[in-house]
Amino acid sequence: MSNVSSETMHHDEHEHHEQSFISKYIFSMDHKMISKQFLITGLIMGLIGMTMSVLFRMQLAWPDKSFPIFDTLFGRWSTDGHINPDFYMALVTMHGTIMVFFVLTAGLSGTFSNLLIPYQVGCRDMASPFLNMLSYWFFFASSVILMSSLFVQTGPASGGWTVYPPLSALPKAMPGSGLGMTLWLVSMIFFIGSSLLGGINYVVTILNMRTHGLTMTRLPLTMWAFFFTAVLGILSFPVLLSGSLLLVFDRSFGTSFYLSEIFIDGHALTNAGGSPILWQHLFWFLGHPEVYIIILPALGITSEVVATNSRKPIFGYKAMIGSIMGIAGVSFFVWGHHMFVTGMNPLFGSVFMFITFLVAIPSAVKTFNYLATMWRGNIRFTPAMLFGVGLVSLFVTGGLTGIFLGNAALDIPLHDSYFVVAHFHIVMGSSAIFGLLCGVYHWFPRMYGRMMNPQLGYLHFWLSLIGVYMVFFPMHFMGLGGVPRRYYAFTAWDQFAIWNDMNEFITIGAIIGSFAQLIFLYNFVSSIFFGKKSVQNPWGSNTLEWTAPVEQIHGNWPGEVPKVYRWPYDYSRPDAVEDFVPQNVPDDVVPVEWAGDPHGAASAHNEVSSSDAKSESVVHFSWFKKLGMRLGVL
Amino acid sequence: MNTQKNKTTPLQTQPQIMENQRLILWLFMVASILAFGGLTSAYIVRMAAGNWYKFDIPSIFTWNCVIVIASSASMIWAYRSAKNDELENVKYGLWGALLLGIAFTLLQFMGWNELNSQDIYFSPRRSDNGDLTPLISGSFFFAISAVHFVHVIAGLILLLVTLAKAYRWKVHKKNLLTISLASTYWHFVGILWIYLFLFLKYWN
Repeated sequence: MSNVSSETMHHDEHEHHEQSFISKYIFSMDHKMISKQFLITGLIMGLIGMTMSVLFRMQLAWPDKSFPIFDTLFGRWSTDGHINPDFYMALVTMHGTIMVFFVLTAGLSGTFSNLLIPYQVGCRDMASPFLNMLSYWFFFASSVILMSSLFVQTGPASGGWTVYPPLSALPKAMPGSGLGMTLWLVSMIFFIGSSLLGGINYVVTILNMRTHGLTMTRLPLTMWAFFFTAVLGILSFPVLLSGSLLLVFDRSFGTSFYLSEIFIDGHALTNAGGSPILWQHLFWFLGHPEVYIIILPALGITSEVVATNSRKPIFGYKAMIGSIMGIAGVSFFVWGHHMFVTGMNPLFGSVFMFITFLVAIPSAVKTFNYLATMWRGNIRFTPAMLFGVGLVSLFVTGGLTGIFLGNAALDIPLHDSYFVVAHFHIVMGSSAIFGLLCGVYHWFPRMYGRMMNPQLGYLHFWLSLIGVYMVFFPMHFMGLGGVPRRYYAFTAWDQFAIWNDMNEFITIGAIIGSFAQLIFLYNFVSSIFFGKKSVQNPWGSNTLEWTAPVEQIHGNWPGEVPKVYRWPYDYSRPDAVEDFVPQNVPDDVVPVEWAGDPHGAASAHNEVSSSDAKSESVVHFSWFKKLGMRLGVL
Repeated sequence: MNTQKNKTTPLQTQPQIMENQRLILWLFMVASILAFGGLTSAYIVRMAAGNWYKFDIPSIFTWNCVIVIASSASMIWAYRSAKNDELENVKYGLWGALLLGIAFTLLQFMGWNELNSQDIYFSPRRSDNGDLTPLISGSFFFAISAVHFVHVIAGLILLLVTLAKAYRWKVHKKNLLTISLASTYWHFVGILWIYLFLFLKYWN
């Protein structure tokens, strides 16, 4: 192992040595490779989850039509081109599980935490590359186990992604409560393991391995967001683990934690004295922080992308950190708002309601800060920026209905209606997906050394935005009209017939939105191989990941890791020649001397090619400014 | 202007809070505490709902508290010895902690058997006349102590690793990390048991 010679570019335990295919691409311990593994696994899971949603939306929109494709795909679970009701439930359950856990938790935070944390804190790799590798392979195992439940005789879990007992606790309750549910739980236990290993690693790396000069308040907001995401995961996933263990005991060992006296087919089960509400408490104690585990990384990514592409310092950096902390802190005391209809004490209901409303404050601070950052900025609408702005739009739209649902008096009639479906799909589903896509467009050059096609990106964005609003906006009205969620068809009720056209409209929206994602997938895959070669710092960004060479090398930087002299948001400083000053540029070369070529502090490898930064990928929206001037606001 | 606020501050190396491995261990312990927090709050919530059967905890579990304390004491001795480079004593201390730990696991099994002989089972049984014995409190006792048991097994593995290192003379004044992590975790598992025992005995 002592082949560290004078030619070896960097020292410590990170010397270069030839790696086999397996150690480089499969059981890799390199954070960059692990992040790609997370991303690609997440995208595949996302594709599966999305396809499921389109298929069950087709069933929902045209309950009378026969689709032979259902018979082809689902075999026995479909009759005459109609999805069987039980399997419809299974599809909905799997869609929810895949999207919430596998795409938006592991796919989002796993990808970008792994990619960005070592880069942006300026260290060579995660605190424990081995645990990091384990984290990915636990996630992979968990994905495989979940997918395998699609191939068991009784079908996958079908009690909803929240797997409430007794449907989840009694193996005979319905087809999906059998082996499929067991696999769901096993998969989830692996997933929790993965999430804890990852989260612990992220926290340790951010706290312990920051480079010289990088104090906590000089961290980019992405780091703050990932940090609190990891903290939330460490604090909330163990509780789900405990809850799941008790559920496993109930299912397999005949205990009665969640099961009270139940008669099936006239026979009393041996269970007695348990309470299904207990599961709801344990589940939502995780479940609510979980939605912030999903949205915080997306917000962090957006902060970075919005500031970079507005060429302005992020507005209210400390307020942003404070609001991340606020959201993270409050998230542990609001789980009861998922349980207003469980017959909880109205006093508790009011307390949960009040704390829930508090979430509006940090959320509004963040939204305001995004808008204020863009205000009078020199905005470049790159695809990443569009998705960032799209996230803000969706976050506002969905957040507003959160105020309705957080109110117990309104939630009780709206509970389990399409209003809820609309709310959470917009505020944490679609907007987090937008955050994920925003991150992929922005950091694709960092990951693969090539640019994605921006034209396809614009097409992808507009079709996605139209698709999302077409799908979820009408659902509010359906929910207010009393249409319940998780129903396989509404043909049995005349009063819901008026929604038939709406259902078709929504499904068409879903097909448009999904089609847009196929464009994205094409763009993603083809750009990996054929995309335009990227320059080192294509967006003219300040953070440290862009000071590393385009080719990814083991240890990230040749030579020393960069030192940090400033916060990451020095955009458009009036005293600097360029409109950005990377974090590794010393102060004494800043005002005038630093003109994109930092001599002195940053040696050749830290060179920032600023002339390329303003290449064709940069779009100046002068009409925006003109419009602003006409309105008298700019 | 923000640009003015973020002016020069002297360049410094960012200090580490503690070694990475230690921080990982502490975060793992935090996660563990949360898992037990989930279990014990489920216990409290379930008990408040009524229909709760109270039973006496066999004295074996009390004895196990004593064993835990003795084992931790042996661990402290091992750590002190390592700090003073008394390498033989390190081995004795570790052996003491390990054997007491194994005794703890055996006594746990005896305790569970004794509970079973008091008709307290992990899962409810139907008696001969068809009545149920809904001993949810028993299920909780078994579940919580079993999850703790898994932690003890992990601790024993850690002790074995440390012991193996001690036999290769790799635990000494200048190489304290392994033994210090093992002892931190071992004390954690011990304190956890005493907490759980007191909780299960008196919150009943």
